Amino acid sequence: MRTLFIIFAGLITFSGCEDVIEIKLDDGPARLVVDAWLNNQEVIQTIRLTYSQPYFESNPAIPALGGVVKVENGNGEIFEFSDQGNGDYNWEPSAGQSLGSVNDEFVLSIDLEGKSYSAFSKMNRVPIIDEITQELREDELGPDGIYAQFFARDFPGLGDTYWIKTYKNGKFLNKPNEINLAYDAGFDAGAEVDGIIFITPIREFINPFEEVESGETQPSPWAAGDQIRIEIHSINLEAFLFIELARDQILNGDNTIFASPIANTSGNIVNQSADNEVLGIFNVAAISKLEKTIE
Amino acid sequence: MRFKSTFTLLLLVFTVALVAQQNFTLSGYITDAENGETLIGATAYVPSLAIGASTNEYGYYSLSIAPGTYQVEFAYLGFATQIQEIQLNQNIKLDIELGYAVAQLDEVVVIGEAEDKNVTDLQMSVNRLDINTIKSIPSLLGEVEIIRSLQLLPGVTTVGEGATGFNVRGGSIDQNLVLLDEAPVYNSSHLFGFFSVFNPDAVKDVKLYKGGIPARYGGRLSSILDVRMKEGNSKRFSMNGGVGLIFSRLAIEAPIIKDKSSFIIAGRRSYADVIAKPFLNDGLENSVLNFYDLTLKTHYNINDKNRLFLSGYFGRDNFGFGEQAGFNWGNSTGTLRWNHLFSERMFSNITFYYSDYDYKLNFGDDAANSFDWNASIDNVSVKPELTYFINPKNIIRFGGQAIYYIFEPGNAIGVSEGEVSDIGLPNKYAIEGGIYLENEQDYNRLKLNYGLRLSMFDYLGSGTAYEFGEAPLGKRKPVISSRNYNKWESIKAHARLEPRFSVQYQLTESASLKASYNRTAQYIHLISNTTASTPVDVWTPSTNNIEPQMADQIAIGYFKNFDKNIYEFSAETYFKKMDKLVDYIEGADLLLNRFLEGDLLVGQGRAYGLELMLKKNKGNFTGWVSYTLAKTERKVQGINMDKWYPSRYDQTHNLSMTSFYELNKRWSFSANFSLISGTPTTFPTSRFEQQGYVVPHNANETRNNIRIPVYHRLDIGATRKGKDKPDRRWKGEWVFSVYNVYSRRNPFSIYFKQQDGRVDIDQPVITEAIKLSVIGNFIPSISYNFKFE
Repeated sequence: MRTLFIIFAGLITFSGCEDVIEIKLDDGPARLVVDAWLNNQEVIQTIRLTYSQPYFESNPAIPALGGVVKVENGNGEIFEFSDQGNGDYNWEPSAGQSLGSVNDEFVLSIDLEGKSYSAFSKMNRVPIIDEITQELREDELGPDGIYAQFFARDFPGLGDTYWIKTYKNGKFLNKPNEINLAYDAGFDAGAEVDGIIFITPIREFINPFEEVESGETQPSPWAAGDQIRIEIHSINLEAFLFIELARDQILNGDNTIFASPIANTSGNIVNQSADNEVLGIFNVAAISKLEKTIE
Repeated sequence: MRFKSTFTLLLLVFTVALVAQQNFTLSGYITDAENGETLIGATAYVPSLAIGASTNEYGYYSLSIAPGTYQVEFAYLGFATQIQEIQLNQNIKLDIELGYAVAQLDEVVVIGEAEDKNVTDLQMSVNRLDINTIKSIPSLLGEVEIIRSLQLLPGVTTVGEGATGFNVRGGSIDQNLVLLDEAPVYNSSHLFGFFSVFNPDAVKDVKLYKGGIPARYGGRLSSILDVRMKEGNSKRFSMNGGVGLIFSRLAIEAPIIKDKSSFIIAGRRSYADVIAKPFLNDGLENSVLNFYDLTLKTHYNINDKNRLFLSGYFGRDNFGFGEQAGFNWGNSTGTLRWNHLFSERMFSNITFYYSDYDYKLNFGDDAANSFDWNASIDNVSVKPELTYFINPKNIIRFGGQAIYYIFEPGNAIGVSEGEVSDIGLPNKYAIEGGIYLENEQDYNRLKLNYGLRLSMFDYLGSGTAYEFGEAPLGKRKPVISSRNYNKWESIKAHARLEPRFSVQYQLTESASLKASYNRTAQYIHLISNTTASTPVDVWTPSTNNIEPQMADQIAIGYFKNFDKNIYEFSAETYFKKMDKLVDYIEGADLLLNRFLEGDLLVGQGRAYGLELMLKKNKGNFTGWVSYTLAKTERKVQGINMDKWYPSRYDQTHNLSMTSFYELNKRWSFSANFSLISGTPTTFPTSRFEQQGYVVPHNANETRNNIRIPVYHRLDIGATRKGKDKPDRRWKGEWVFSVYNVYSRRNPFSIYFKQQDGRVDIDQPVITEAIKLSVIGNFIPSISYNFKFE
């Protein structure tokens, strides 16, 4: 339910004054980062291996090269991901081939510089999207214009976790404040909103957020002819908790005086050789999607 | 063993009470001749015996001395001292009205000497702020502010501008018991923390106990803020008010039956809507943003032995965004008190109060898609207390309290396309009880106050109690079993003994040493892990999983007055140890979470410091300098690698200077300067990429590892009074102030973020540190205050 309050706090807190400043931070060791968000689609699947870097180091992350990366599904099929030389490790399905289907279990294994890492994920069920609707809104919160909503119904039974992704004219809306997550049909576990149509804020969270002149971020309406694509990705609980906390931490500054304490995300990758920490998530998602052209 | 010594103590106290001699008693009420308000802390003093008594919170004094004829001086700071000759050959009841300067017949008048209470009072670690002093401090937008004024005193801090509440000697904001006419106020702020809920027009007296807390107070670890309301003018009708930039006030007071009964009603309403508009996000121009409060009190002096007081407060903050969303919160309190004199020496009071804090949020203008959420803490209490003035050297206080709580941690109903889901949490219930015995003793150069409080808490059904299993340190604990309880069934009972002790030793006529020890227990906790507490934070009782918080504090102080009490100096040092503090796992889910207890951690705290204060009480130029050197730390299994770390409001140095200058009868000036070390905050060491997002990571898992820059600010004020003509019934004054004179952008915090804007795929994301200042400019203001009588 924190999410809800954050939305509210964002509306009402004073902007205050913000100045970019330089500060000196403590050093932390570089750690291996596994970025393995795979899915059941017949497209190239990519696992990215990089290292963490000092917080103010804004260059692209340093890739981890020369690893042996494999995913095995419950049927004993092994998918080998090949090193692209830039941190990406790819597996390209042949026609009609995919990593698996709902309820399949997967094991990721990585051998890198003499150490081995592993992770587990199950491909969870994903509800179909029934409809995307559009509506012209005037004199409401945010600028006047066309806003969209999607409709889908969560499965009965607690513990389904989803990442709802929106594409505008083929381009993924990738800002941290556009990360739209659902725990069953609501925001989080404690709420137990189950088996119903996703609640309104989640249905509406597919509209893009854009900066306006004042520097504030606000919902941005769609234009006629825009193409909108919604994908629901089923994610495992670790992935949900990871991306939820990552989003809250990335956006924590927006909470101004109501900021939360800094918290580290927990991943689901295990280092088999030693107990030094490895960061990141392995998830194999089932995806349901629907497209619509705004009229 | 502990119980045995308690028993011995009780026995001792009663023995002392029984051997009191056969004296006669001079007793009564001391009031302000101008408006009939009772005076708290006024004195009746017999110079020939060097014995005196002070009035209590209800203006009552009782002085039992051997028969004889005495000159008795009745005095109160700023008032003309009255000297009366009393032939004490029987019990005498004498009510005194103190006036400013006009002499009565047959009386010798001495104009108010500054008092030596700083030195001679037993009580240490207490700050009393006179409402007139508070009114003179330059303030934000010209609004007289009680809580912010307290922050100018040693040992009182805040996490920053705009944050609600205050921190006392390293305690969190929920460790302060904020009392308005004895009813607790659970959220003392309007507009987050910019303004407090106390209307200065209705406030008579403000007293903050930071340590040496007497046994009669209980329920919180760190401090007691005792705010007493005016009774209302019992002499004549009077009206006062003001028009300022942020709100307007009006207070009316009048006698109902002259000298027997009166009332005061005081209201305020903000026009923050207007002020805040430029700060609001685009698209929010139609928002509602206001707050108001209403404070009322009436009293009735039934007869010599019985007095009744009824007081109430109701306040609300409202935010609304068209029909789509609304948010409001507020407190209401009601107090009924009955003073009864069993005898001249036996003063009793019984208080009944009701207090409630609640908030409501709603989203959605369409019945098929909406969300309604509210939460509250409600409580009713009865609190009898008895003061026995055995003789001028010995006062015994005895009493108790019972509080019944109803916690509504969240009722929430969501409707999605007409389908209703109730995601609310069940109510929780509890009873808190306490009994205490306190003995105050004066052995000429040595004064003692020792007491014992036994507090109890029972977490009651109906409800479900959960049992949690083990989890790795700092991670969410899983529920392993649950059990349902019936209405009134005890789920978990807690009890604690709280010894309290204070001593004062008079070194010389103008210097004393004081020391105190107190143990305090706290059974209810504000669940909050944001930098500044939010209005949606919920109070929760101690349960089978949450233990009461405990604190032990010792303090030692040296007190010295100079130059006929014109200057007061105090130096205090304290050490406070806290245990069973509530803390939170990383990423804790604190709202609408029925398994909240699984997200809580238990911690220890320690705080120590040195507080210096030099105050000038008399003359055209008055004011004080306060300096605190302090450290406050926490240690929690699962945070900061289980090592001690500074708490978010740890301020190493805190200097404040407040001064007032009266140029002439019409013009007066004030200034306030604060210089405060930066508070600590946490920064990540590293960043890593995941799905194109840049995630912060703190590889060392340290907490509060960076200090934000130093805070300093100067405020000035000037007041211009209207021409003073004796027959003029309307008196007005203009108050000018400038807050943050040199426009310093004082940091509230530093946070980190990735640069705004949409990042193209394969473009590096830029991360940066941002200094957040709540107020970045100087803020001038002008307000007009008036009084009509």
